[in-house]
Amino acid sequence: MSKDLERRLDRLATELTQGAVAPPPAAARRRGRRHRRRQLALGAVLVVAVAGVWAGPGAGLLDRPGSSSAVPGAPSTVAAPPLAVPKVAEGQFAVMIQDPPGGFPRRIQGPITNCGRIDTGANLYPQMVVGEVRYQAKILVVNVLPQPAVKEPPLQPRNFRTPWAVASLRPLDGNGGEDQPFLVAEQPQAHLQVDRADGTKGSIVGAYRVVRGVRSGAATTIQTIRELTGAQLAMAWNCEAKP
Amino acid sequence: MAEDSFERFYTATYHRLLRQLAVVTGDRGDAEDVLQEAYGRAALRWERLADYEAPEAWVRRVALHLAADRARRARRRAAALLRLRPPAPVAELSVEGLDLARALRRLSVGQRQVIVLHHLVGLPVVEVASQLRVPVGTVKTRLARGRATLTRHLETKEEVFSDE
Repeated sequence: MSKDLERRLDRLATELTQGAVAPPPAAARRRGRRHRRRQLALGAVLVVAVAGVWAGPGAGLLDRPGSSSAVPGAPSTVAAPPLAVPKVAEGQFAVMIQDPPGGFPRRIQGPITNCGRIDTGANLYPQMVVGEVRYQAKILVVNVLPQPAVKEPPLQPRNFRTPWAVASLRPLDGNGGEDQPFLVAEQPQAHLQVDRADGTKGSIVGAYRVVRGVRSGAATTIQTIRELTGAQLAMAWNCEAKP
Repeated sequence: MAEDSFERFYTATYHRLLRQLAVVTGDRGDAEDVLQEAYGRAALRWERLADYEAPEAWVRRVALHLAADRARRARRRAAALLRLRPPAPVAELSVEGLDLARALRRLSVGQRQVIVLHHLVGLPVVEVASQLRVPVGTVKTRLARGRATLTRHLETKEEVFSDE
């Protein structure tokens, strides 16, 4: 063993603790009792938290798909009462979201800034109603596809079952929206009510899932990041302008 | 009876453990704090610990773990603390002591632990591994790297700190 290092360490220890006075042993005992109280308090908090999740308002957390206690693939048997459809005036839209994921509002309504037909390709998405409203530092975009997605021949989009409604939050500059989470309410969980044949006035209510687009090369695929939990969204829109 | 026994143990071991912890933490205040916490936990279970062959080793191990936890937290808080309060007063050290204290700060807390246990406490490598509950190979690696760092920063020849 290096005597030199040993000597230096010994001298450093002496210099660092020069004049140190040991506190009375009773102080150590008191500190021990404080430590035990902290442990007991922490234990009590954990018990309350676990009990709350198990039997209280958070009980549903343990039953959500993706949680360790959930049965894989088992459909939800909880029949929640449908959300009331928000009433909207002409040129307005409204969205209500139960248990909204981070960033999304519980309720928002505003003027429709963009509403009408959007053609995205032959036999695909022949009509779409779009509402946009500024929310905090982002834009909440609402897309509704009230009619079957495609014309003939039957060709359904792989990711959504029409009719569907989508709410997404995008940066103000309109970029980067693809990797933002968005909410999808679709058949058969969602119920559509269309007041006009072209879909410019109507509502959709039902359970939603949370998805996001994952870019892979030139293609964007949809990845579900929160399955159906029973939480619902309700949207209503009215693109009719006053005469 | 048990209280008397704990007080005797405390009085007999306090300064010895404080010296070791002070070198690991580099700060007497921190060393006193973690040591008090470790003694407090020992007091809670003294009736059982008193039967141990070396209750001092138990207190040292708890204090070393507390010191390591605190060092990790301190690294994260360092920037905020620098903004919020003036630096803590530094013990008056000799030039040689100051050099060694600075060099020790360049080691990880794990390296400082094995250096202190091996070179200051005088425990063999196997015993150090047992105290810290890490593999013997880990202790050897930490010792070698710690000594190399100390040598580099103290500008001392390698053979001065060579083992055996």
